[in-house]
Amino acid sequence: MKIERLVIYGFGRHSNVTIELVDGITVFYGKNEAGKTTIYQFILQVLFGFPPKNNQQLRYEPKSGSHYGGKVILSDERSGVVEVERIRGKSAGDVTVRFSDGTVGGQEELSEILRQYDRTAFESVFSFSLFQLQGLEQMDADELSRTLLSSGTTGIDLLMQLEKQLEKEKAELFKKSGKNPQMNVLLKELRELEDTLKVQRAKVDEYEPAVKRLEQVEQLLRENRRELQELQKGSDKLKNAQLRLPIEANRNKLAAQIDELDNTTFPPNGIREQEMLEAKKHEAEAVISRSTYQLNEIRDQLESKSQQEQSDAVEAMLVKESDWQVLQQQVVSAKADIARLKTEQHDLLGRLGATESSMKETILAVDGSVSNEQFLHKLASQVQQIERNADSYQNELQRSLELEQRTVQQLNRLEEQAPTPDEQAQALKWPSVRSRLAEAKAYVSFGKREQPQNSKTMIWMLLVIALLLSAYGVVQQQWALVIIGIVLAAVGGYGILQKAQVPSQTDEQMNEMKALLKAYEGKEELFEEVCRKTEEYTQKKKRLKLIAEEQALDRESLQEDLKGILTQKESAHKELLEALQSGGLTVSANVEIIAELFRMIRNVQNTERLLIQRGEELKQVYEKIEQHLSQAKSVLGRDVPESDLYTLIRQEARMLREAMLADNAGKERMKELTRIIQEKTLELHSFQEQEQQLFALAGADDKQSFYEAHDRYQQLQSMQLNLNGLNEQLNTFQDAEGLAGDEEQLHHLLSQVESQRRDVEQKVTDLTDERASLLHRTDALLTDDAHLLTSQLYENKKAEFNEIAFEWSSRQAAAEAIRQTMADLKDKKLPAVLERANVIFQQLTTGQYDSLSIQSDGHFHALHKDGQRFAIAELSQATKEQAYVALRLSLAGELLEQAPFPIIMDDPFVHFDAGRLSQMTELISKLAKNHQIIVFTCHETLSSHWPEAKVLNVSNVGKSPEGVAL
Amino acid sequence: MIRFIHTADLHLDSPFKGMTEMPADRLAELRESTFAAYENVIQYAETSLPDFILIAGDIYDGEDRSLRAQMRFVKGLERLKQAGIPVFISHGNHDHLAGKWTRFELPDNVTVFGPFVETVELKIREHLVRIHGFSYPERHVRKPMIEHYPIIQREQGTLDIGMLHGSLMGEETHAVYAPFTKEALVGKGYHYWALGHIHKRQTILSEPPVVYPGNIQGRHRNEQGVKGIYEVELEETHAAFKFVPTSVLVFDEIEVDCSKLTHANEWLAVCLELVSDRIEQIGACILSVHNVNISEEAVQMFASSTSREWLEILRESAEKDVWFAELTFENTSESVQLPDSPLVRSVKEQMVHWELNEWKHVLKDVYQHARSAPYLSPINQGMKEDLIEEAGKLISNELSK
Repeated sequence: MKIERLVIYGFGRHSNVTIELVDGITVFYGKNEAGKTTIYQFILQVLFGFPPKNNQQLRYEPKSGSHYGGKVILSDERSGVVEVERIRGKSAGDVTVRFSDGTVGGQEELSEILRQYDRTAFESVFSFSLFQLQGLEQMDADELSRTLLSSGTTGIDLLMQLEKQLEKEKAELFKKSGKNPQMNVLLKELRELEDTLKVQRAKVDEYEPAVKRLEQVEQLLRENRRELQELQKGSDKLKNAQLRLPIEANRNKLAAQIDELDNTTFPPNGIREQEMLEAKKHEAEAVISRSTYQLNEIRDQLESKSQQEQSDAVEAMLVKESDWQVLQQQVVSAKADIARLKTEQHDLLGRLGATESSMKETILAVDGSVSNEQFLHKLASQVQQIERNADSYQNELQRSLELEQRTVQQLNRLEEQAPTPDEQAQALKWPSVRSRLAEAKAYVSFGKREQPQNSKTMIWMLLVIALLLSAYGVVQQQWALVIIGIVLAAVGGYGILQKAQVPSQTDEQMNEMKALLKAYEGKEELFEEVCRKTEEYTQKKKRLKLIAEEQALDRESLQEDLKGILTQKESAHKELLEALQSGGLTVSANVEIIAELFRMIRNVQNTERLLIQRGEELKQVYEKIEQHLSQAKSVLGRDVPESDLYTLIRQEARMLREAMLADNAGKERMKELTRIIQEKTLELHSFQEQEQQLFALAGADDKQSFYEAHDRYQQLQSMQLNLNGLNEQLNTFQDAEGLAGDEEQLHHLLSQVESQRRDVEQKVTDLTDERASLLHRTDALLTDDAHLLTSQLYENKKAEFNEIAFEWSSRQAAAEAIRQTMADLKDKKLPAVLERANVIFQQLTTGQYDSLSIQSDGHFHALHKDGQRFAIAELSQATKEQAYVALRLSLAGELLEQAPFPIIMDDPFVHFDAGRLSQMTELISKLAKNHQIIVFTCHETLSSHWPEAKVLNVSNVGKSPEGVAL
Repeated sequence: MIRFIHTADLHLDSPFKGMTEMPADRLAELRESTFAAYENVIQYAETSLPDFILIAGDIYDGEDRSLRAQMRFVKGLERLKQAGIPVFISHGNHDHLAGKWTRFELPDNVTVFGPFVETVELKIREHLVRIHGFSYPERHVRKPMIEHYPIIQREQGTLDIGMLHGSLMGEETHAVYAPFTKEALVGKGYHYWALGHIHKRQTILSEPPVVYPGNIQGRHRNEQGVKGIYEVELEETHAAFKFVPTSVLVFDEIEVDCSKLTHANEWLAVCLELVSDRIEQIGACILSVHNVNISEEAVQMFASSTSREWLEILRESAEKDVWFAELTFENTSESVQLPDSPLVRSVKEQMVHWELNEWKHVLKDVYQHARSAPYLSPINQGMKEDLIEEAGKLISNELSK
């Protein structure tokens, strides 16, 4: 592959430049700063991409503003002429590849053309600069060797790192005798799971024997149960036999006893019948005795007495009952009259004032004549006349009192309307005030200067005016003016006094005056009105007082007259009383009463007569009643109260009649009873006979022996019952009937059977338990899915293990592939390279050194022609560089077929001496047959070594569109 | 016409393989699924009442079959007995006759073939049905047992059915048992071949029908799709069969188009939508999620976490009736864009040139290790390829950093 032409659109300092390169050697010559490195970078960057921004490599974006990028025209053995254009785009630039047939491609095609080499790979083989060679100095031997190796075999370093990393990763996955790597852990788990599975599988194996045993156990259980049943039966039988023994004994004893009592007979229901007969007998006897008693009693009653006589006497008394009633009524009416009369009399006496019995006597003795009555009547009329006179005087007096009172009231009312003390005081004060006020007014108007003098003058003037006013008032009878005058005079007087006292107080006075004026200003009329009212009031009051005095005089004269009349009246009265007392009358009486008084006295005297008459009548009636009572007492034979007399008599009569009737009934009853007694006696006899027959049946003589026979019979009966019961009991144990033997034998047999039974029972229990556990086990085994889970887990782990194993395998394969590649390199490629390098190295060192070789420690050694070996670090700088160049060039030669790229060198030979330099140039000339060589140099001399080379002066680049040949 | 059910490879209660990271409760659920599928078979039979049922081997998974599994199997048979359905069993390599495991007594509606090929006849309406078969006397029967099956001449009114647990000769993907050829089968003259052993449902021949019904419940992510049984209507000249799904849990795969995805939640939403669609179609399932058409943004998105983490995110957000078994990514075009350097290429080429022996040598630390080897599946071609790819990725990714 060759670079034919560079077309720079814009790159660093260069823009719009086209540079033609040649087959063979092209030399770019230029001074420092001429732009050689820019072109060098242009080639690499167009082919392999602009470096990313912020990379340490420069991007060479043009400052001039022309388009960034350019084209590299290649001619390739495989692809023909290809135009690779890279311009600004994404960070690596947008690349376009144009083939000669017109097809266009991109990065993919470019990579193909570049044989998948990237910049690093390219630079490590095909491009080298002084810088890289200089860098060698600083490296130690180890690094140098590796750099030499790696620079020749691209990316080997990385591969070796990768291999190490893969080994590490592998170790994390698996170690042959490790514990912690994932696969080892899994392996352990898998083994454990296998063990678990084995155990679980073994458990499953238990199932079949368990099932078989279960069947066996079931069979045994059935057999044992049957046996147990049999034994139980035998045991029961023996137990029954044991129970039978005492029962049998009892039965035999009882049977013997029954045999003994066997002849005893007794009538059925004998006791009941006997008792019935007994009861009937008793009943009959009772009836007889009762009837007999009753008979005797009745007989006694009838024999006692006849009551006929008494009955007749009572009946006679009854006839007289109406007489009795009349007497009673008479008593009542007489008593009522007496009581009424007494009351009347008492009443009259009361009214007459005769409260004491002596007075009654007096009244009864009063002379009730008409003449007496008339005398008294005259006296009373006199008294009456005088009293009426007194009354009229009394009325007069009353009226004059009322008049007087009214006047006093008027006076009071006036007093109420009287001016208030304040008003009176004001009215009193006003005249003086008015004068002061006038003075004040004058004072104020006259001012201050003439004040003291003026005021004095004014006072005096006031007095004069006052005198004048008073005089005028007196003359004209104008009292108000007089008062004013007086007031003014007073004011004036006062003023003189004041002035004399405080002549120096004029200023204060002035103030006072002003205050006064202020206080009374506009109120003068009001004060005048008050004065007038006060005056009016005083006059009215005087008038009323005069009237009141007159009325008082009138009243006093009336009072004198009344006193005389009252004395008259008293004497007339006295006369009347005396007349009355002389007539025996103590009461005070007036004219009207006199007639009435006499009527009453007469009435009292009348009632007294009637009372005496009635008392006589009552006494007679009482005597008759006493007769009646004594008669009744003799008839009834006892004392009789008067009130109940006839009630008792009637009662007695009724009783007597009833007694008669009862006697008759008793006789009838006696007949009846006699008959009953006869009947019952017959019955009794028959019962006694029946009883005797009953006794005979039981073979008894009397009742006691009859009962004894009954007891015996009863005993027999109960024994018979017992015997039956025992027989029944024995029947229930019938199964044991055949078993003979005594208690001890039976006991022995039973204990044998029991122990057998217990044994079998134990067996059954054991078997049942076993069966339960077997059932449980088989059931558990049937439902147990632990094994399933384990096996699933096992499968999972296995899968996981396989996955990781795959991871491991892939790493192992990769690592192994890397190792083999490395080995290949070392064993096959490296020797070829070294062989080629040795030739070059020998040539470059003009035969000073024989060869380069790799030692077992991986370091390069140079073999001097005299057989001495040197480590690279021990070589001189130039020789080092020559070794390096030799290796590089040999690599490029070796790779010619795979990667026929141009070799680009940036001033690599500066340290070479002339001899070696010519060797070098010669070598390059040789190489140029197979490789395109591009050399950048600042040494003018270098170009002279290659006459066939095209030399381009970089300083002139851009100045001519075609580039400039030196 | 007779009607019967043909099933095989029940693998009751077998552990599910290759399920890592599944929580214990879900595992138990998973484990129960074979029983549930079996229950479905029984229920279907109880309602459809076929003339008989053929079970062509591998009822249980292996020697460490559980008692529970056997008990449940027997209970199912008893139900079939209640329904009056005869059952014919020819045991296979997983449940051969030599096993020393406890055997449960089977109800009398069940006929088990002995270790030699034998013929059982039964009368179904107007047909005489002859069933030919054998049970594996031991774990490994490598001989072509087909030789021992009688050749019959077809007779009017007679139907011949062969039961055979084995694999087609030359079919290397499964362990070879009782191998046979199609010709040999046809040569016997039977009306129907009821096969077992291969878990993938397939009809090898249609005339006469030679059928693998597949297993009744998928148990591995390689056993994808709805599983079930065949209900066969057989006449002398014609056979019709209907597939009856029985699986309660389906292993399946979904493809997620990542060409327009840039955010994790978008991806998650797309996944979950696909999942719920899938659940609607096939019910509860265990899914492998395959991401395809991965855009550059998506690559960056996926690069933000490890694929294990993505898988966990998916598992956490998914419904109860789905489990995500694995998460894979289509080879991204990105890696094509960044081709390997010459050195990397030469490294990768090293692996490609390794022969099986060399692989064994390279991996001997683990694969030949006395402790670990027994747990590992042997190295085969597929694994070689997978390893080359995975190792290549390791190298490329590391070096392109």
